[in-house]
Amino acid sequence: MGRKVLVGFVLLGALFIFGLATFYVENLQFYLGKGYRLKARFPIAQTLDKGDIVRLAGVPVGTVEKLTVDTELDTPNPVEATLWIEDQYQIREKDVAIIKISTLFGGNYISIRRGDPEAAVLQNGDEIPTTEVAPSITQVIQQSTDTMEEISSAFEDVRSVVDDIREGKGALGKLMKDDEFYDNLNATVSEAREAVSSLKKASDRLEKGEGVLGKLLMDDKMAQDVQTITADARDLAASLKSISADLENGRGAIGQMLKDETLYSDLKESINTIKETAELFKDGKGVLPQLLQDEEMAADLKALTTDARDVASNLREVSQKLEEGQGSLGQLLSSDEAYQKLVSSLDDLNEFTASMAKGEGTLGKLMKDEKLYKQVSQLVDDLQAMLDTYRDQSPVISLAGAVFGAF
Amino acid sequence: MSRILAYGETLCCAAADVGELTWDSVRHFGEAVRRHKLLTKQCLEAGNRSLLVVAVFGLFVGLILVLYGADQLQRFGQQKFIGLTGLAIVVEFGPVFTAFILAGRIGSAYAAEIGTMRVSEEIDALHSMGVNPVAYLASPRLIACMLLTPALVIFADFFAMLGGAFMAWVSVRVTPNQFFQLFWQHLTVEEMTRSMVKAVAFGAIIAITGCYHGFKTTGGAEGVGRSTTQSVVHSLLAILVADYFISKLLLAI
Repeated sequence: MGRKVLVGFVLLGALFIFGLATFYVENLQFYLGKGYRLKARFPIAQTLDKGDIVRLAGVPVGTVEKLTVDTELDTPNPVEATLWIEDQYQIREKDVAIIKISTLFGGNYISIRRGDPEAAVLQNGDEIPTTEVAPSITQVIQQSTDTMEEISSAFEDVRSVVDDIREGKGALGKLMKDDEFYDNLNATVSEAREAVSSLKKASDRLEKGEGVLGKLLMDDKMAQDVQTITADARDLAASLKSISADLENGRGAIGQMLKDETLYSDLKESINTIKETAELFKDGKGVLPQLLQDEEMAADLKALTTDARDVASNLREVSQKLEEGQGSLGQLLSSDEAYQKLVSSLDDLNEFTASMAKGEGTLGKLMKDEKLYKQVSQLVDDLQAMLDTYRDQSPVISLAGAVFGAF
Repeated sequence: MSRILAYGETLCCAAADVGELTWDSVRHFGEAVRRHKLLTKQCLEAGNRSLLVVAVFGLFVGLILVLYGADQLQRFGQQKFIGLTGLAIVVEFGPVFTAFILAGRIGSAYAAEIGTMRVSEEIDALHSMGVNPVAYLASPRLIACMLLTPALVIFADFFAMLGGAFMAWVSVRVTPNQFFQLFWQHLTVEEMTRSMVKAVAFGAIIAITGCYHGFKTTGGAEGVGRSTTQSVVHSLLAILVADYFISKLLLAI
């Protein structure tokens, strides 16, 4: 009986242990095979749990054996996962371990993304250096919500635009509602098409090297000419630069004008003088303004001109006569006899002046006699006064006289 | 305390007896196979005569599961996935409900048959004739149950799928074509293997429980009735408990 009880107890105990083991065993297939362990550190484990699958390129290659968390605050990746990987699969240094979402209802797994195939193979106990954590469902939902809000906002804008179009606002609205606008646009499009056609033709011509621009683009000689012109322009620019430098330094007349205050003040004064003169002209003061503005004076001037023309005609006639040897002056110019007579006359004149110098005769006394001089001077003063009076009374005649005097 | 110890002792003795019976039965498999007429008779008894009841049972299990499943899925507008009910039938409901039917029909029959032989001292007569009663009575029954329970499970699954497809078409207008297409898309060999492993284990439980209670029958006709009842009750309990642990183990592998 005792042996039987013992056998039964062992049997029940074995069944109990087997039953208990099933509560803790996950992914038994990995524990049954041979494998090695790697470590991976993450900032957060999300809902990753012991027993979750490790996948390489989507194929299950291992399981999460252990999860621990480091309580040090300054640790960037406090979660350490121990991964059990089957022997036949190699994980390399440049591979990346990523915590991913299994399904929309939750759950995670670790995905190994291949890196450099030439990198060193990790051995038992090594750590996978690079890890990532995919966004959680909550984050994905939040991102989706944000995106939906943006889309909704965009749709609001679109709706507003559509409303405007429906109401005939803007170019598009007018295009839909306004026939005239449509016709204009249609015409514009036709013109644009023609313009494009013309441009195409022009571009064809350019390609063929026709016209100035075509030659400019296609002709090497013209290109060289343009290059030369460019070089000249560059030189010109340099010269202008030099000139501007001179101007800036106050060299030359314009430079001095720019820099010298005295010159500037002189120029200003000259301008003021011109301005004053112009005002005099405007006011009609002085002879020249009156000449320009006074119609009566203009008429007189015209008459004076006519007279001057007549005088010139007379002079021409006189000079013709002189040339032909007519009259006294003509004979004087052309005849030796007249010249001899003139010389003789001059001799007589010399004698006359010599006698005058000696105070002989009337004129000699006029020159030598003080009394007679005073009398004659008095006579001249009287005559001058009479002439002034006459000038005041007749300025036009005086001016005409002056002009005539000029001729 | 002494009562608890007494219960513990009884439990341990029962476990030891069950273990011993199982081991003896397995040990005499060869002898049972040599007595092929007896084995064939047990196979016919366990298999052929269970076909109708298993078919009807399977058909209605399929109808009920799809009826409720379709109703639940329709709430979420996902009735097109009703074909996945077939996976539940194959993996869980087929083996478990077939085992329940066999426990009621075959397990109770084994307990009654062997119990009657026990109370009428026929088993003692076998001993006296030099025939091992376990090899003669338990081993063929164990082999028959372990062989035919998986076959009956497949048979039940077939009818359950027919009933399910019909109900899917009637209730949520999912055509049998759609129903079976989704089912075959997601059915894997691993799931079929799990189903068969369960079926073999349940067959063994039914046979061993029935034989154990038969061999342990005492007290005449009343004792036979008690053994029959206990056989069914213990079989059902053992099937459910074993179902959990086997499922857990098979999913882990």
